[in-house]
Amino acid sequence: MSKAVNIADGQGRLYISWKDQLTGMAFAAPYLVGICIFLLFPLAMSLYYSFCDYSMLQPPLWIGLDNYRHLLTDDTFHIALINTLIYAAISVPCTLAWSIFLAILLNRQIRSQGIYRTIIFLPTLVPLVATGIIWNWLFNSDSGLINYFLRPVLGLVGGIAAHVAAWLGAGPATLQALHDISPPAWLGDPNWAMTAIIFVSFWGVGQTVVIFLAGLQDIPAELYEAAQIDGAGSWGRLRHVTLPMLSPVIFFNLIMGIIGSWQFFDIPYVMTAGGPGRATLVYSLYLFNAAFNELRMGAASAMAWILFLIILALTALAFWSAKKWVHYS
Amino acid sequence: MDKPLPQISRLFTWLFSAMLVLGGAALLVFGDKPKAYELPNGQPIGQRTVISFWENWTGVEGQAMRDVVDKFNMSQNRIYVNTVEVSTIDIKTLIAVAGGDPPDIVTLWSGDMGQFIAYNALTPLDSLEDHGIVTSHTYVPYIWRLCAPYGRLYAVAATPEINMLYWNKLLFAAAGLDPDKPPRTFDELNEMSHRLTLYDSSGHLKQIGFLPIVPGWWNSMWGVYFGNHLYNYQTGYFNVDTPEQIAAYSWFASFSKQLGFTAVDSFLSGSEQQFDSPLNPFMSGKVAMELIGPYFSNFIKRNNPGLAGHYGIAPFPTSFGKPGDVYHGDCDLWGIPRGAKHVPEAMEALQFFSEQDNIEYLCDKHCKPSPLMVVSRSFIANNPNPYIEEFEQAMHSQNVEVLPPSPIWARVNDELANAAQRIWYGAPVEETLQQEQVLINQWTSDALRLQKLRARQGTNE
Amino acid sequence: MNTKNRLFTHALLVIIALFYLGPFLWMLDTSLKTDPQAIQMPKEFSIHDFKALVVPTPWQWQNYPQVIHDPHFDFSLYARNTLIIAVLVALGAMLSSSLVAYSLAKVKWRGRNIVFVIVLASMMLPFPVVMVPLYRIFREFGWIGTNLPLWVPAFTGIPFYIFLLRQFYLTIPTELSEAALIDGCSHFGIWWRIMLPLTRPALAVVGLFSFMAAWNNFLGPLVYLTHQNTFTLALALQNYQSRSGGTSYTLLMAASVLIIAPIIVLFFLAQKTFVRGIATTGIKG
Repeated sequence: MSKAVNIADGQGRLYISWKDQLTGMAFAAPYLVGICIFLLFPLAMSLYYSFCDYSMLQPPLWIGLDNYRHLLTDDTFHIALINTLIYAAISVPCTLAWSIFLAILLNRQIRSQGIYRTIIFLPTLVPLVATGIIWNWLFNSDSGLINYFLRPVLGLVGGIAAHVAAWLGAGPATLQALHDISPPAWLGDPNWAMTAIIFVSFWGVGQTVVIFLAGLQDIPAELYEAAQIDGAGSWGRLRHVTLPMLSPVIFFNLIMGIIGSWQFFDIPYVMTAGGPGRATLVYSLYLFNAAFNELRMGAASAMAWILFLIILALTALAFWSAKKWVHYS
Repeated sequence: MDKPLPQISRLFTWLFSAMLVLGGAALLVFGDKPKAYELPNGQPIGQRTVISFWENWTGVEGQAMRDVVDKFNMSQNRIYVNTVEVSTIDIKTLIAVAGGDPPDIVTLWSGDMGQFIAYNALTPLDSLEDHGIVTSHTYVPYIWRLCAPYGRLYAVAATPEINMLYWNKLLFAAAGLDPDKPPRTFDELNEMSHRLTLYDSSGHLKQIGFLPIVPGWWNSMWGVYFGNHLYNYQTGYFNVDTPEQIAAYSWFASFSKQLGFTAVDSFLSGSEQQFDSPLNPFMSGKVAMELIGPYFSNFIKRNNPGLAGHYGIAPFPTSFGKPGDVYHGDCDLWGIPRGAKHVPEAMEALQFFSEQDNIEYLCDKHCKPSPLMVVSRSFIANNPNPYIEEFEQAMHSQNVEVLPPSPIWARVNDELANAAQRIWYGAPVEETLQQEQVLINQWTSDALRLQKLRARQGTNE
Repeated sequence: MNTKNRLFTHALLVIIALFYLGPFLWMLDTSLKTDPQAIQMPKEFSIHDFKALVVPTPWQWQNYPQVIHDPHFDFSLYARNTLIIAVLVALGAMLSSSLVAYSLAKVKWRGRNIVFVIVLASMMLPFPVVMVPLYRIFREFGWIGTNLPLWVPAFTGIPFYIFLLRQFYLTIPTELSEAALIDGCSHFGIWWRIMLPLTRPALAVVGLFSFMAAWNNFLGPLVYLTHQNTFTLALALQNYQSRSGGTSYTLLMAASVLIIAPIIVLFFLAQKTFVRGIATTGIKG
């Protein structure tokens, strides 16, 4: 018995008692049943539906590649794809960097450290619906707190800029424009709505920060001491100790971030419903609308599969690049 | 980790479970359980069949519906109608029908009819028609077209709405305009709107004459007033980029161009979505004219009684003739979703709801005209809407445009409303509409092809 | 760290904390105002206006009773519905995930590596891919309109938590379970008597995370709950926001405060366990 247990996995044929085999399978049974019903079977069905016209009220009708072909020419789909791409490309790296920064700050031995940690974690506890409602209110172009503070700031900046411009000899039109500089309507302005939504994602980094904190606490203090002896400054310690040692955690959060950003749904659903125009129409929102507002379940399944492939490709890319920058001690 | 964990986590586990148990117990005991049904007079419902009815109205209008339901529940002893108020009812209904768990009666938006019928998601109301309870002579022409878009009765009418131009006489007078003369042409509308648009000393918008995006519900339908027929009932195709449409949306965009959409946005700051509140731009005197339905009189009375005697209504101008040569009308409908568990009982309830006195009671509370061909004298006399006769007259018009009963209307409507929004934010009118035409043609031909394919295979369940 | 450095850190953290706490405070503040006060903010920024901006006049405490007694926002019913789901999800996730994780980490059986790979792969599967067929499956079960689709799957284990717990079990010395096995203890006995107590912090994290995920879940209830009296708080809040006629911001904020408050209290009690629990679970992969 103990011999069998001691043999590591994968080292030749190992002896497995039938009792262990049964126990293991029995313990894993809920999951095995679960993935069959809630994962593998739906996965196969969804692939089948993606080749069908299907409304759920009528039986699926095989139409071959039509759903995919239509997506190629569907402008709204392209816009949703690009919006999500922009959202992911900006929010994932920026929130990662911001989270590392916060984690390092929160890892310093100072008083009331616990309170700061709690405050930063708080927003992740709030239902995203409530987050959306709060920020909708903050971003309100006229009655929102953000523009209330931005107005005088921009007024001041505009005033200074106008002085500088006047000194440089700018025309009266430019000067007037600088004086009139005012905050954007945020969610009411197609050029700014996505910015506002990305901004909100910085508010929900708490979980990522906690994971980074845990990673930071695992870095042995000796490494820092050794670096200090070698004459490394705080920047050098960050570059040569903290970041390399943290890289597995960064990698983990990167993967989670990629997956999360492509499934991003609640915030735009609540805050903008994809508007104004299609400025914040993200992939999952378009997919949801196709499935449940228009009952185009076949098209939605095709979109879901494309989404799956995109996430798979990006994850594979991340894994491939990981060889170059992730250090496992 | 610097310290071992057990103490903290034991304390925590303890607190956590204690809180869960206590809070859970408190909620389970004191929290509201789904209530047992009872009759309006407090009696238990006994052995009655319970049928569920989804309603989208809240407030006074919701109460009116509940009154009618109560009356039905007391009028017989076999059926109990349980009313549930549901927001975004169209989506919830579709999801519930798709999920095989629909209510027995649902309030439908007319725009959903085409899709519901195409998906075979509604029970035809043949028995009501066969027994002569609801026929083509029951309703004014446009309402019948909504209930039976392809000749067969799929829904009965609840309360109708037909849009009129409301204008604020006080603001007209203040701007030096005749308070009793509404615009009769688009030129007059634009001109008056211009005179009614005011700026404050710092150059911010203070008041606007007319804004087509308030309340923002008809953004896909402006072509109506320029003579466009959006839907071709024969072919099933849409007319999106006709010259009439281009004229309509150029007019629509002109407001955004003149005023600047950023300025308008900041001016409204979300208040355009407030239609039943003192903050509504028309009620707060920020916008002088608004195109909206008869219920608006109710909202004005509720939210700004001071305005009640000082507004007028008139048919909206048309580009090709007199105001009132065409209207845009709509109606709430009641239908029985496919998969409903109590169809005969639901039919009986619908028959009761459709009786003249009940419909008139509802329309009275909604401040709306009646969908019925025959209207009682007391209804006109007692209706709280001061302009009920004008609305009744409009109801009987032969030229009322309604939402297309196309199977893909939900999608087309979204697309067109979105295109209008993009045009508002500066997209070129002609080009945008042309692109939409191509896209919507594509959708239509696909839908038609699939319909044929399904018919050939006989796969309709 | 020297004093100057420390002060600088504090200053930085205070500013950042304002960004994270501010919206809550503003929400609380708005929830106590009247509608006109909330909407009509002073156009120009000035210190004198600050009091008018921040202090509700009059304090609109009745916003809260108004929300609670709103016939279309039955707070205690929704809280009850949500709590039932969240507790069941937490229980299910803790029980089944740890059981599955134990079998993947401590029991030798053929095929467990394949199962582990499936666990990893399913973490990457976006929910929309299975959304449509799942809906169909639940329809066949007759579960649409009930809360079953929201908690039953948790009892089959949640991949992320299985992964977490497996990593955690691997750090527990094998000798412990071996000795117990030799003493004639069954695997179930080891799991129940040795592993569960040892892994309490990690289990607490799984319980809390899954509890909160269920408490905050929106897409699931949006799709599966078709009857108002089965709504969860998050869904009811969205419903409240989007109902016809529009809802006033002050009432909406009061409703949001009511929904957020319990979860914040819970977190304050659990703050330390949270951070430490995650630290010990070896999330770093």
